[in-house]
Amino acid sequence: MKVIICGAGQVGWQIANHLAGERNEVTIVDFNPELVRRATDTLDVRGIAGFASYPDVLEKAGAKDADMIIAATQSDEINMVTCQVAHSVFGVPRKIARLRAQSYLDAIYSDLYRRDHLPIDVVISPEREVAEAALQRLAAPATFDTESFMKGRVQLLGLALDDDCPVLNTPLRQLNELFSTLRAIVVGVRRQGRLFAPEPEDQLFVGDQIYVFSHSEDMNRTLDIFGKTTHKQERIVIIGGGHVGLGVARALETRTEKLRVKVIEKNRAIAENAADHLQRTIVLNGDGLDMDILLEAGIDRADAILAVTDDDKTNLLVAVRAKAAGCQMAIALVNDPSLVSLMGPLNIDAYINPRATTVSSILRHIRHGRVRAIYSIGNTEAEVIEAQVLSTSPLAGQIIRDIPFPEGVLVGAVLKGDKVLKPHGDLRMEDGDVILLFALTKDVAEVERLLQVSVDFF
Amino acid sequence: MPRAILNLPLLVILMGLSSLTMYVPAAHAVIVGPMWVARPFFYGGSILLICTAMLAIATENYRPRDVGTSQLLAFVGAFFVLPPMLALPFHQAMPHLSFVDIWFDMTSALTTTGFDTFAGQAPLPNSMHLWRALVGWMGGLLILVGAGRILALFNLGGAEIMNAKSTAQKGIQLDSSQHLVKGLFIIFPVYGAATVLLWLGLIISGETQLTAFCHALATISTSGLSPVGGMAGTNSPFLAEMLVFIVLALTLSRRFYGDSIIITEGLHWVKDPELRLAATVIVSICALMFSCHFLALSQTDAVHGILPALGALWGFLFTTLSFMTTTGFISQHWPMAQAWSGLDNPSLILIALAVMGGGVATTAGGIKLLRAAALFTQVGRELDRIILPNSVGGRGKAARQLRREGAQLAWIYMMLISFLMVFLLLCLSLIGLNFENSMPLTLAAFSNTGPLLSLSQEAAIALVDLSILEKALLGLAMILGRLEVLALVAVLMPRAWQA
Repeated sequence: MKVIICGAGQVGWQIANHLAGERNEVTIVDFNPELVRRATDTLDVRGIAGFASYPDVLEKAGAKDADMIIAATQSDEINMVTCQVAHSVFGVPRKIARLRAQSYLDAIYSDLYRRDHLPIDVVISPEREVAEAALQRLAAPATFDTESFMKGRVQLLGLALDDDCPVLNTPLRQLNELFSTLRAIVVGVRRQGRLFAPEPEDQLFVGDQIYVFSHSEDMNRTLDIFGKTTHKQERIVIIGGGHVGLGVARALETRTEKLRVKVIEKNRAIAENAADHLQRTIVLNGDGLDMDILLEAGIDRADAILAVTDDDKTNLLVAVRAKAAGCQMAIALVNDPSLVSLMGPLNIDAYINPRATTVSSILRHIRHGRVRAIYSIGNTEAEVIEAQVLSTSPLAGQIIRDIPFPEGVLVGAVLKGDKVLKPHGDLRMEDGDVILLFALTKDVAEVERLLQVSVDFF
Repeated sequence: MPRAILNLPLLVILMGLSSLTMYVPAAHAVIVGPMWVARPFFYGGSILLICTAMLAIATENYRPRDVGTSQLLAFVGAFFVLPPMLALPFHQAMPHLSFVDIWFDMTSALTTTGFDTFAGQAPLPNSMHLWRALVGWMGGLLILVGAGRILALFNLGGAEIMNAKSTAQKGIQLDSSQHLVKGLFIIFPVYGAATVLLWLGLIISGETQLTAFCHALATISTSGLSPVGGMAGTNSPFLAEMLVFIVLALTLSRRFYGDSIIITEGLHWVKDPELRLAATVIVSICALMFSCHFLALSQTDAVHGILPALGALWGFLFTTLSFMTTTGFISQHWPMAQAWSGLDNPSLILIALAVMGGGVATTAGGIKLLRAAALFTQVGRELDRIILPNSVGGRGKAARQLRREGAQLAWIYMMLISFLMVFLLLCLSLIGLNFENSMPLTLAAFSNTGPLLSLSQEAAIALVDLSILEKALLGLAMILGRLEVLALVAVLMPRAWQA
């Protein structure tokens, strides 16, 4: 597939990296020749230096026969114009734009982004995606990673097992028999830094990080079985009042339960902006690394701290500092995936990787077949794919036992009609079912082949 | 021709308008008599009109270097120049009254203060009452247009609280009084319509023609000038009070006269700090005074029952609003309310309300609700900061400005006016007035709430008995209160004279 990515910033770069890794023909456009040169040197992409919205620049980038354009430059307006030019001049079929301004995002609900208005097929807001991820982490405090699928009916939980876990050293098959009514299934285990899909005979050990699919109603029971207690989170401190921090605080304000949220922001102007948009939340102006400010925010009695400034190191240090001061739980936003391995030694409970969230939402629109959701796990080690089974696909009509899934693929849940079922070997896949798959990255291509259809999609 | 008129100095235009207004009482007196009242108003109006025309011809080619500054000077000057002019036919018709008394009365009418100067004297002819109410009404209009179109240009008259900039001209180049006419076209439909509707409503409620008209004029201009001594003299008290109450609520905020006077950052009127404060204060004071009854139950002479309770509640509601807008009408149910609450002297609360005043850029006097709101929000923020020293206040840019620079400017104004009040009090005491009398006089003059005097329990102060110096000082205080002091300070600054 031919993809043009406008903007070689963090998001553009990561998408390019990901797409180039899947043998797509990627062209990156940026007005900074230095960035373009670095991109072409490091990644397997073509680069064009110039303004992304100029038709001649887009033509040079090959817009005439491009399948998709992703506009992810700094400016919302340039992204919009780029999509308009790509549509009107070159007829690029799929257009994705990153828009940050709240006002543009609100306009989604009116029909601004229709084909005959402003032709953007998909609007992606990284800040909004990250804020949603942060909320999910807060909702499941005992996990290091969560994501919901099938319209919130199935939850993916990432759990780090410790000595308290009562089901250690037991084969998974036996666990399945022991808790036969529990609609949960272990789909991935990371042991000593290596992620694999477990066999029924595999056992769980201390220090394992596991990924579990659970029915939303069974979530607390699942957490219980793996030795994780859930307790209410009432006092939350957010470090950073930018788009992400503000988004999380606003979402928390809309909750019905009474939460005490405090936001700490260093920049006075940003802090004032945050305070203007929040009603009950208290905004403090000061350095999140300053112990006095942290104590003013009541960090010693806080249930959770959410460090979402734009600086990874600050986030990590604040999280560590808050934990040391007595905060129950720390969540840090980390842009650099290589820092993820520090979470364990630093005793940080969970992290949010903006790249993973943004990349998953963009990937969703690149896959062929009726893919409804994609979630990228860890440092793109594995993916969770939610897809619809079409009558023409090789899956339809088969029972799960007979489907030739590769070794690194596990079925997490099946949605038949309105009911979410726990998969077992004798379950027959039918047209219209939705299937949730866990696939290691090396097997994604094969899964795609299984989901793909020839005529129906185009 | 209109263009030529608009190019004249503002003061000349205002003088012309004042002269023209004199034909109204003249016509009234011709129809209902007596003729000896009609004559001086007709002749006075004609002569003054001729004088004004001569002035107009003389100043036709006069072009000030800075029209804005010259209009500010004219606006301030109008309060000094117009009252003697307006007093002229009055004095001719009633030569037995001293000119100083009439000047004082006209100043009090033009500044919408509404002192009942001739209380206890022989009753004035009806046309005179009409004239006083009319001057108050014209004064109200002058203030509305001036505050929105002249003072606001100089960041005065409440605009400084919103904009929070230093008092300085914004550099708008004006070449005539055109913008004032535009302002008039925005304000007059509401102002005029409210007057006419209230007039009709009061006639329907059973008032005599004159009382209805004078009360309509006095309500919308918040002067409180009445030919029958306020609401107590009306025929159908409750209906009339209801109608007056509705119009009084309109005078609370500049918003009701159209949005173009002093921009308010597109704030919804429900969130307007002035209206919120006004509602809070009125409701809480009424509730407080009403519930005082239950504390004073043990008193033997306390009133009981549902009907007195409702009457008392209405009395509280009407009178608090009336004093907040510095109109000063007292509800007929006020004595009942007073008895209900069992308080010795609830009038003090009304005096405090009058000193706080109504909205900025309205006809109300006092310190103004916006300044009070700025100080209140600032106090709230400071309390927050005691608990969380680094917290940041929200509610938007406008609210922040109100809390910071707005509160500072409001504080400066409050200190200035308090200092002037104390100064006037000292002066009056020095001249020989006793403290009990000089205190309400000072507060009434500075807050432009003349009827405040009738609240005092002791024998009402006879204004005509005051010495000339005392009257002069009080007249100056009324003008200072009306112009919010700062306008006068701005005019007296050397920079204004350079222009």
